[in-house]
Amino acid sequence: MKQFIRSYAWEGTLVVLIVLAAIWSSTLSPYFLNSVNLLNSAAFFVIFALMAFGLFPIVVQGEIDISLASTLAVGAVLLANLSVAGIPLVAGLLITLLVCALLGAINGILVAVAGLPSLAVTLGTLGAYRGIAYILAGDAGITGLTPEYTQLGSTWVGAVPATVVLALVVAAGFGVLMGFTRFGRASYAIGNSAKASRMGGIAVIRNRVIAYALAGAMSGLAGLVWVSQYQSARGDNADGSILFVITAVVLGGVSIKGGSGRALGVLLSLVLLGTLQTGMKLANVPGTSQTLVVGLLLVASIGLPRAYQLIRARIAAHRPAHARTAALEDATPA
Amino acid sequence: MTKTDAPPMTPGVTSRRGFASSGAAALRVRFLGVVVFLVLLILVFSLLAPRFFTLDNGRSVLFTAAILAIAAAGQTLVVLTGNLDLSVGSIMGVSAYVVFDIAGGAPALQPLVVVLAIAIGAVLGFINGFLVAVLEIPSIVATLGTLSIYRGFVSVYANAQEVTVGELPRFMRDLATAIWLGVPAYVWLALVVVILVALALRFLPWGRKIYAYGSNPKAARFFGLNNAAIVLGAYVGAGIIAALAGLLLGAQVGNINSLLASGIELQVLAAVVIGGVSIWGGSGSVYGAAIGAIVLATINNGLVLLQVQEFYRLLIQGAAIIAAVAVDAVVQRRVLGATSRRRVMEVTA
Amino acid sequence: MAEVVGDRVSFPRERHEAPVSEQTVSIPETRSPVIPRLQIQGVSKSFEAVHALRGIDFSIAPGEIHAMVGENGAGKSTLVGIITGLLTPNTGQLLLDGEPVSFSSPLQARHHGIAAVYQDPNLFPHLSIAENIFTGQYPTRAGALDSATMRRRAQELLARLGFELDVDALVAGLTVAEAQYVEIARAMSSDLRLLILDEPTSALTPGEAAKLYDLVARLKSQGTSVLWISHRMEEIRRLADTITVLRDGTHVRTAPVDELDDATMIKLMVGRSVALEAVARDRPLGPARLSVSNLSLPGVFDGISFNVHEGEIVGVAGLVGSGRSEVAQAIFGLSPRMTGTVLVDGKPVRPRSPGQMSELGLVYLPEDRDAEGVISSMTITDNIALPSLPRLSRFGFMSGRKEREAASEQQSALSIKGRLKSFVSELSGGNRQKVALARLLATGPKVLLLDEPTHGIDVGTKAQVHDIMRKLAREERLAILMISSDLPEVLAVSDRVLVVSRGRLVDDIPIEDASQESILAAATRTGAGGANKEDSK
Repeated sequence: MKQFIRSYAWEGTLVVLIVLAAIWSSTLSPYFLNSVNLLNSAAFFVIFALMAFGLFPIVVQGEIDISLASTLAVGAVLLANLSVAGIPLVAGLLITLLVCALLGAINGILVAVAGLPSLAVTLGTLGAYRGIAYILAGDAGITGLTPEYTQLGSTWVGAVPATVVLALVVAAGFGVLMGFTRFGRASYAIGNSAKASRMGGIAVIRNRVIAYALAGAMSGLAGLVWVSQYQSARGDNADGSILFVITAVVLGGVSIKGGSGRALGVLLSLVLLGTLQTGMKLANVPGTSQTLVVGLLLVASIGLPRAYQLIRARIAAHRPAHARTAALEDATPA
Repeated sequence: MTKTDAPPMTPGVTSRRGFASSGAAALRVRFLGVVVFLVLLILVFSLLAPRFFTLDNGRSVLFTAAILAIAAAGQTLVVLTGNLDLSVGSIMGVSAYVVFDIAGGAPALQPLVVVLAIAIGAVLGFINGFLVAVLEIPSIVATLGTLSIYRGFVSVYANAQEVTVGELPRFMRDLATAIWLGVPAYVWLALVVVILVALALRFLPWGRKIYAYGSNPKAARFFGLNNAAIVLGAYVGAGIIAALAGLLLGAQVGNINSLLASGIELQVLAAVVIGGVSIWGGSGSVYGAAIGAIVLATINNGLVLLQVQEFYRLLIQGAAIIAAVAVDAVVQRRVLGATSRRRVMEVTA
Repeated sequence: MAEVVGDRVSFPRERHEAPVSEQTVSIPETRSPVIPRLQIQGVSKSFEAVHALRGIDFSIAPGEIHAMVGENGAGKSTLVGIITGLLTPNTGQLLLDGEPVSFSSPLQARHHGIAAVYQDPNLFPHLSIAENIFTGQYPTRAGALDSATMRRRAQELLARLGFELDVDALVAGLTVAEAQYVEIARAMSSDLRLLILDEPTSALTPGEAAKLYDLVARLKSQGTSVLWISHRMEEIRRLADTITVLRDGTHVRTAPVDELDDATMIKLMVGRSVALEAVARDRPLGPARLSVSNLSLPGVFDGISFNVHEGEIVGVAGLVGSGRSEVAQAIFGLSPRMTGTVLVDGKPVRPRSPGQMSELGLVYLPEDRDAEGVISSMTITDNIALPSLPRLSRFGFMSGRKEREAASEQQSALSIKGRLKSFVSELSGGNRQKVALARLLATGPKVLLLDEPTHGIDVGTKAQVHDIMRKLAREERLAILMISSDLPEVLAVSDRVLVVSRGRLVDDIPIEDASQESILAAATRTGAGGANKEDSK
């Protein structure tokens, strides 16, 4: 029960930080709390959000995928091509999602079936998929997309941009997927112990490949948001954004070692990062300087609880011998 | 059925021994594999592009590879412990900008740029090592964080300014263009750094412990090694080397902004992986990583000469990384299989 | 009853290296036995609720070979862990050459001349033999590794021990025996007072073992004490001066080797405080639920055939490493390369994955409970529900209510203590094992393969698990295959006993004819097909 409360403490902390960041931002500029401004900056984060939610089950399973931004580029460029070729949006989107899911599945097969380390595999496909995106885009990139493909970026559902609605739907979808389905249960189990999960009859390989394919498809969807916002696509789209996406997932309380974390945490961490960056933008802090705050947040959020534990253990070590013996036993692996 | 009372005396005498030693053989073959791959690349490019196999072009390839090879040497230290340093590009950026900015403002400090870089690299590396070894944050997360922090720091420090060519010490500018004995000075420097790091890994207890820890962290505990100190030491070493690489890159580029060397971490990691440093730790060499850097530079150069577009470079590079890891996986299974293949027998009654 | 050491005699505490003169001054003319090399006084150790060791008292004399025997779970490994500083005892102390010592790490024990060599050596596979011997204590010159000296000293050490190994060879290429040599050489590189060998010959060929016997005899003549843990009577007879018997974490007897004949020794080892009674089968057997024929996995097992009937508990005995677990795992779909026929309920199956076999109603309880049997960082409910996900979901969606129901049903059936939301890591070993069992039973299986179902759990829970198994077989009519190293358990629970040795099924004994002696004899019979397995590896 204590651990139950403690695990929701993460989301609680994020909410507090969001409130603090919002207060700070609004002191910087009266425009911050302007709803149009807020929603516009939210729309900017939708692309990262879609990739982050795609990455989320992979990290829960104890793996990583750093090729997602390249997959996004393939998706964006493919959509742009299909649009220029006059393919209707529904068909174009379907093709794109399938292709991107396939790219994800290739990662998954290399990781799960061949048993290769996911970081190195996706480092390889990060380059390879980026190469594919360049090939599809040509040197100049693709412009002149049909309005059908770009209308998502300018559509509002009531007072909210359609892309933000999309992101919220995706967030809810992943909340359900990870919280209430067999796939979700299996993912947490695999992340906690792939060996014990396999012994328990879980199809570890299949679930891993599904997670990677899903992440690929989410990147494809992010590609749609990309072309709808920028009305063009190039081979270098979203290059380098994967580190931000990983930061969002980890800051959301998803342990990089696998087995824990919730969609709510990922959503809150995206909101926090969005609030902070919007605030800093208002304060005219240049983009690269903003990363200082993001990085500090990431390291502190994981390092501080650990430092606290260590200090407590150090204090315990100075207590009488009996307590020390117990602490030593804890440290001894069975 | 060759078992007699006399145990096997030399490797490969009995069939059982022959099988078991395939792990050891696989480790040795792994390094040769990279070399063979490089030779094949050179052969193919030489046949396809006449201008490839010339002295000038060779110089150009090596010059491109030099800084990457130095950075890869540093990364090797960390990867040998089974960890990663994603912040290498940011350390290079901080080192180049801050050192040359200080030296530009105080000419008296100009001879000390190397010392300054080492100090900065040591501090940044120590921070990484502290997060990974002491706070036990997974290295990918910790150095992802410091990648942002160090880059953010140099951005704040730079305040949208640049360090211009004119502010750089004269001798650093000259070094970047110098040719010694027909070879760019940077190539010599890279060679020196790689050999020094290799020697340190080979002959200092510091280096031997890095290999031991990476090979089997659990056994390291049994052997009484201080695991945290080993990992910390590897990160400090990697930080110093990255800072030196940054210094050279800065001098080469001339006008330095706060984005110098950003994104290079994946290139560095690629060089290390292609060079046969096992991502599981414990095996591989700095020489391999340096050759990995040359492989990357060769692919780049050859494809440019063939007028193949950027796209295919990325594709080939990606495929090379995956192939390298696949080979590593086979080697690692052989090695672990050879030493843990049997199950423990216990008393029944 | 000549106990080897009189541990009540008080001695002045002096160092191992103490000059002789001092010794003669402080010890009066009593002709008392020499100071024991290692004196174990009242050592107890418990893990959670389980008492692994209770008040162990015995001594090892200088220069003696002291055999320690006992069943699985008797506490031998725990005691070794305490002597080598891997574990801290809850009570009691160790006296090394009369000096009280307490080690916080194996390295510290090593500095005091105590080293242990296990049957599964823990070395650095990527590094050379010489380096493995000297890791952490490198010879240096001007701060740099003096590899010439290191290689020379490694060579000398190995030569002195009579091992001819290339010091530059990588450890990855060594046989088990050779890796042990490296461990022993490493142990020798300090002033060795006590060498602990934990079942060192179990993975060795007879030739390799003979070499080790010679070495131990030589060490003994140099004054080193050896604590030799073994189950091989013939080697104990051949080598040991003294035998200590442990049973259920208590010290049973320490006596010179001549005073105990084999029968007495086995009796001391297996004699039980809690008698396990065989319960007669009350209903006839049903049809065969699981029948396998001619199962083979190259290098692991060969030509295995047997049936398990509805309502039957078949015990599988054999040494660990004989291939018994591997057979069960392969039937569970973990070794798709296996050949042979498997029939579940008379229908032929090719076992390819655990998921597939679970759906057919055949489940496996792994021996390594904490790494494979349960996921300790998850809750009881999550653990129990995991293998039953298909049953507890509709269209892929989980029903939280069904999960909780399934979990609480199993909780009450197996009387698992703790709340369903508790993490499994918070439970005692026995309760963790019940969760591991519950997670299988929740799937509603027809065939249970249980690998060491009571390994490392306390006597009370053990009896409960036995009752559960009987109930499952008699009332729920499940077919149960139970692998166990605990012979009294095999005899008490099984209807029939299969004996596996070196990857082959060597005996099929009806329970009426089974005894510990007959099973042991079959399991340890060397010869028949023995070399086969070694060579094919």
